[in-house]
Amino acid sequence: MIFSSYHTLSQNAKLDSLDRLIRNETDKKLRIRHMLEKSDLLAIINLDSAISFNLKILDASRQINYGLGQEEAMLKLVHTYTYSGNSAAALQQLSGLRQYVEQTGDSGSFANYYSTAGLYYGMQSRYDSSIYFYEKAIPLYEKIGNRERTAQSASNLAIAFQQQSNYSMALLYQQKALRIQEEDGNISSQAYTLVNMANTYQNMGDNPRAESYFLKSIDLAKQQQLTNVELYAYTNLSSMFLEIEQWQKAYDNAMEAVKLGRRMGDKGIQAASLSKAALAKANQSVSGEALQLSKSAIALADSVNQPMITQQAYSSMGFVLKSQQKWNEAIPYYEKAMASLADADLFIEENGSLYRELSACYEQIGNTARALELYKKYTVISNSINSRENIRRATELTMNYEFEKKEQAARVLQKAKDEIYRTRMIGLGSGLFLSFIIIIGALIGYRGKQRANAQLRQQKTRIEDALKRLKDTQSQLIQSEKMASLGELTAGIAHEIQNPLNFVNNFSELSNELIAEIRDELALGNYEGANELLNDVHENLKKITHHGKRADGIVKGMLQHSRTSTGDKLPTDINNLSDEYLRLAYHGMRARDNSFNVNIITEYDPAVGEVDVVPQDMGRVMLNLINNALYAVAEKTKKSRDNGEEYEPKVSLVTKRKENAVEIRVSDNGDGIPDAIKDKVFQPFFTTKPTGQGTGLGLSLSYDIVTKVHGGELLIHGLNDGGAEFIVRLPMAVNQT
Amino acid sequence: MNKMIKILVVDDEKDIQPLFEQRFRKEIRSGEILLEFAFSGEEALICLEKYVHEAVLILSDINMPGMSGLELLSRIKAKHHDPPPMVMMISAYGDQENYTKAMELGADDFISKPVDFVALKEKIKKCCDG
Repeated sequence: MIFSSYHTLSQNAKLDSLDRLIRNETDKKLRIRHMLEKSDLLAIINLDSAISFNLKILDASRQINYGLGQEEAMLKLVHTYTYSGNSAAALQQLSGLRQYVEQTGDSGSFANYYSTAGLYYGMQSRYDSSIYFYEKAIPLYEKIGNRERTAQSASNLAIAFQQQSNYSMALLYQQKALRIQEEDGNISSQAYTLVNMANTYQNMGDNPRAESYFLKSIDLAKQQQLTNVELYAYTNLSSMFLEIEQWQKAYDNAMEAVKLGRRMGDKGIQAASLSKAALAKANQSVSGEALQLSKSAIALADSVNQPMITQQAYSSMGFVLKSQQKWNEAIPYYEKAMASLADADLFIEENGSLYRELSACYEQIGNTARALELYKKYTVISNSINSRENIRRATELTMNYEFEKKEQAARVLQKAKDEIYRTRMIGLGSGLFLSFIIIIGALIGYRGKQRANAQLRQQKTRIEDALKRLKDTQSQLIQSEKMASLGELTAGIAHEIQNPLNFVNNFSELSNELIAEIRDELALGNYEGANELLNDVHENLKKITHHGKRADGIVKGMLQHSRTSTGDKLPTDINNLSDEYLRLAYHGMRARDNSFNVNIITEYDPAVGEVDVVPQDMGRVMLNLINNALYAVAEKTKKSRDNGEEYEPKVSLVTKRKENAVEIRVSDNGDGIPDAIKDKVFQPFFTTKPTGQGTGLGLSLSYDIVTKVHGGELLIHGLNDGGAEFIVRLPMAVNQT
Repeated sequence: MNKMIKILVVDDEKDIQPLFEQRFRKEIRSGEILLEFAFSGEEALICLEKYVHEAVLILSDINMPGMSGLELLSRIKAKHHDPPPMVMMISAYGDQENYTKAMELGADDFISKPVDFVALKEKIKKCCDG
């Protein structure tokens, strides 16, 4: 473990006193509450013992049928399993928790479940899901007036948004959290939120704001003696200033971090910060001081012997010497820095710049072969920057934090917790965890760093392979989506084609009979009668032509649908096209489920007329939208039938001519689309249908067709009766009428 | 065919009316057959309300928007007119499923599209004479 003895002592004292309380408590429920409190402490010291202790609490709560205890124990189990990396077990507890919560039906319990799920998915880097759950948790917490957890959830939700590079949403929720914490005068939490906001601004590249928020958080952290926040802020500030080449500020902040490290007796932090200070000074060409700083860094790094620290200290010395053009002297330092990472099986971004620097040194001393070899490696690494960035995201959110921050953060976590304990309800503090995602995450990140880095390299190769396969299959998938919807169509086509065929066959036979009659009439000299019959023949032939063309259109539509689009835009009657595909979709649905009934309302605006579109592409869009609408009402029909509710399924298709556009609205009165997934329905592979029933490509392809091929818009609307409405808006050239 | 047969034809295809009218031209002229048309299941029910006991034979399509032919069939058969009207179902695809369902619901016969009117006339004759 990485806690210093001082903290462990303080921890132990607390543990001892809790153990006494637990031993002496006769009330079983109170005893469980003390145990829950102890579990929080254990989680900081050793996750494995916290897990087994939580299992004990769960068991004890079940025995005396203590619901609150069970719920809290399960919450804690999800947390501890998640942090320890046992996601299967965490998920199992999470689903247990869900079942439990669904039985109690209490808003607070639901909120706890949602936020815990949010945390679980966040730690799995599944930020969409994390966001989904936190967005459910927050309004519930607000409803029951739990401001503290509202703020915590908002703050964690912000982290998920930040991971998705959705900085504006991240800021929105961070501001929400901050507002609550300010109103409640919760200074410690404000310090955490401010440091996270600073981080967001830094990610956005808004360095002035990042600086001001880091400074604010330092101010509050000092008041509350939250050394971890202070340290985190100084370290980030110095890295930020190094990056934007403000050497003096980089130096000043690094030295503040050194001071803090010294105060806490942490040599690793001191070494890492001294290395940064040395880099700043070297860049300012103050080589004497830079050399001194690097020397001190190396001395400290040697005594702690941690690969990342060693790397930083030695490469700072390498850089200092290199900037003095002492190539030969710089080389062994850079080599040592690289070796320390290689020994530890670490794969980090710094490797890239190390290779480049070292290559430059070898080039200067004339060892071009080695220089070239190193430069090649540098190129490979910088080329993989993008995929590595993805990998980093795909690991833990904590991977974004530098090593020493993690270590230090973990070290002072206990102190911060002591602080918070005073202001917090005892016992039921599972929410306590939440505001410390970063910090505890940092601890886990440290523990798992070694393992993660080895995995990282494997993952890199795997992801690159996967990406290639993905690209290959993408085109196949698009084709199979077409074929899948073609399959849905087949039954509709069978029906559709037999209807016109019925008329063609019968009207042509009839016309033959009529001609025979005309001959008879003519033979009798009854020209008037013959003329009347001729009119009938004429009408029949018109019908034959009409229905023949109809059949032709159906067959052509089917072929075009399966064929790759030629991409040619043709003037197309939008009302006809809509109606044609409405019929196909409807009959297809009916053929698959002939008990299915729906009231179809159509309203075609004759002013719509012809629009230049790629007919088969727009047909596919219409087919997708209508199929989805039919599917939605069919599902609701089934549900209502099961629940014995009245329900009249309705699907409507309305076209309308607007000033410079044509609008097609497909709406249904099904269950609608929850706000949470509105943004996602156009994403490839997103489907709410059971596995195997949807490819998840229909709407995404439709979206591409409408927006990219036709420069139009595809929008979703929620409807008052709970249904959904999709609006296709196609721009119209001015000369089109 | 010596008595007048009243037939209600139900289909969502409008052209079904001129088709039947021409196909049964002679029978209509001679007064053997009277045709009524309804273009949806709902409309058919209203028609039947108006002409209780008058329609002897109903020819209905299965696939129609709104009320399907099968539902119409089950509603007609549930009403217990005495004697109940004959109902023949017409469907585009003579698939086993629709056929079985129609028969279960008490359809008197099942005709596939495209409709063979010679065969249909024979069926009508058999139904109404026998």
